[in-house]
Amino acid sequence: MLSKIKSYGLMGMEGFPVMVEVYVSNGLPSYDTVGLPDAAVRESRERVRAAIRNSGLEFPAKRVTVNLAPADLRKEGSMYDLPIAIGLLAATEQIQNDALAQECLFLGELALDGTVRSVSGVLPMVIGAYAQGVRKVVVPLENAKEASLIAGVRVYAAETLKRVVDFLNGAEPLPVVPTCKWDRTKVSYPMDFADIKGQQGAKRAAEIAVAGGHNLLLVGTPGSGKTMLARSIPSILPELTFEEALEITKIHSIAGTLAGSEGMVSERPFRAPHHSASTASLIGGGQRAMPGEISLAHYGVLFLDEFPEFRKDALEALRQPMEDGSVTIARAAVRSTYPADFMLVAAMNPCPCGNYGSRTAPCRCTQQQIARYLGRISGPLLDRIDLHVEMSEVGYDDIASRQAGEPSETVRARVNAARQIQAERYREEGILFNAQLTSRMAMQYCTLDARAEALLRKAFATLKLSARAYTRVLKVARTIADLEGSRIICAHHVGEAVQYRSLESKYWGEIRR
Amino acid sequence: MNRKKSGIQGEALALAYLLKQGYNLLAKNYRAERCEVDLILRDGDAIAFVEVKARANAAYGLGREAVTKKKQQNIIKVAQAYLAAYGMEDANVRFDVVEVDLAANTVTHIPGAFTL
Repeated sequence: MLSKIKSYGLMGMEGFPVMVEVYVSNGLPSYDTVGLPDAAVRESRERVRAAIRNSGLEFPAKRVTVNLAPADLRKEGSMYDLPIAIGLLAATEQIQNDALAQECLFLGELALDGTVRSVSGVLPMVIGAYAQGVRKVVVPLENAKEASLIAGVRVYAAETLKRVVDFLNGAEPLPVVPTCKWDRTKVSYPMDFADIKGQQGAKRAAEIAVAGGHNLLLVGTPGSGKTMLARSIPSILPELTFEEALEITKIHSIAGTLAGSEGMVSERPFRAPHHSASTASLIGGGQRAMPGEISLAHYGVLFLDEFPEFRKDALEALRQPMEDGSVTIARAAVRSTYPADFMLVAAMNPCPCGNYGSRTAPCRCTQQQIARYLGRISGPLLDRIDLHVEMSEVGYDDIASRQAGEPSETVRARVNAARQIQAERYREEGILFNAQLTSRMAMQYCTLDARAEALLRKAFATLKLSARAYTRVLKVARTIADLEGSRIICAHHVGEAVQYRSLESKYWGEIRR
Repeated sequence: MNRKKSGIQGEALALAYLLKQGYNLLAKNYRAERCEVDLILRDGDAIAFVEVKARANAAYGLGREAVTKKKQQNIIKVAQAYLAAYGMEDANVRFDVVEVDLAANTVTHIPGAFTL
């Protein structure tokens, strides 16, 4: 009258095995769920009851105790419906093949009619369970593809409770989902670099930023193409590696943002939250400490349009994750660490009316207004953005030009080549691209020749660079050299890298003094 | 017909029905803790605590709807007292509701109508 069924729980990115124990005994008929269940788990009783009855099976009018072990960890979510139902049926001997039921791991929510519904976080749970020796899992049909990414695990796709029971009783096998081969299907991008007229400088900066994973700030008058440039960045992003794709998929699995039965993410994410976004939605948070936009943009692009319009506290909260590449969200009940290694692309106008510095339209802002506007971007935040680019209006000749610019395909090839060089160089360090270099590593890998050294010394003094900015300039110079295939960083690499720092003194120089 | 009479008549009809189903009567109108349960019967290895609801017509809702949460709690209390008194705490217990339609003379039995 006692049964034990395997399931799994999640705390942030990490999981823990959960043993669902069901004990059915005589006595006053009752149903209790113990083992720190949250509301969704406690409510499973009603779903389980209805699902069992509507599957033509019997729900015992006896004393039922459901225990989710270990008893000291909080259990959240609806994925315990299926294991509890299976446990109940095993404890009342409606499932005969106990051995098979005990070998499998069960995850899934139940609809009242007995259909198995999809749950979030299946991929990280299956990865964790595999590491602990589980080789057979029964997951909802919709989650089957993401679970099947793990070679060595037999994935059974559960459509209804009845079919799972038939499978365990040996009446009818469940479909086994073949291990999903990760395919990088070519997607067509809505915007291509070739469509952007003029703006050679900004395009070059975007290429460098993508090649080294650096952060990029675009400052320009309205209509100069900041948003268009940012939105075409996905088309030049380097190809995903399997490990990167797996990690991105894990995060999106937890957040429940995996599109349908897509399985593994095949594209780098591009996240563009509106500027009214709250701190918690950007960084992550909520009662269950769910990942925020910065984690959803992991190994991809976080695009913040109208940068100064974001809430100040939201922007400042970006600083620590930008430095660490991960974020720890602490709430009363949970504490989760999520990776957040994103490339920040920020776009802004130079002043509230947008025309400051324009050759064609007059700016009607007062000095004070401009200072207040620019002042919303703090020095420390600006410091962490490696490339600052000004974009001015595009002239008539450029707009009317029928001559196509360089297509994204070509740019992407250069980016891929540069990433290759970096990945090779940092094989021992466990990092992938230049932006991830620590200051110690930067000193080791960014070797300057004598003229470059002299130029950087001069720039350091005139631009009044901080220690952080110094390291960041080094890293950008490293990327520019990598794009050229040069092993040593030369003067012109440093020159270009330093130039992407000059906007700070132009716009922010005065108001900070 | 007054309410008391209709209640007694309903209980008699319900009991007759259940005995015909092979149940054995253990107690009638068992009282404990200032509450009462209409019928206690044995059904195989199970003990059924039965609440009988008789209705002359459905104008005021069905009989089963009248077994409110409060009423259920009272029945559970009596059941606990009964099981303790006879040392049967480990028995297989069920709470049933029997609905009697006095106009049509029909009996509807709902086994396992509620749980703790």
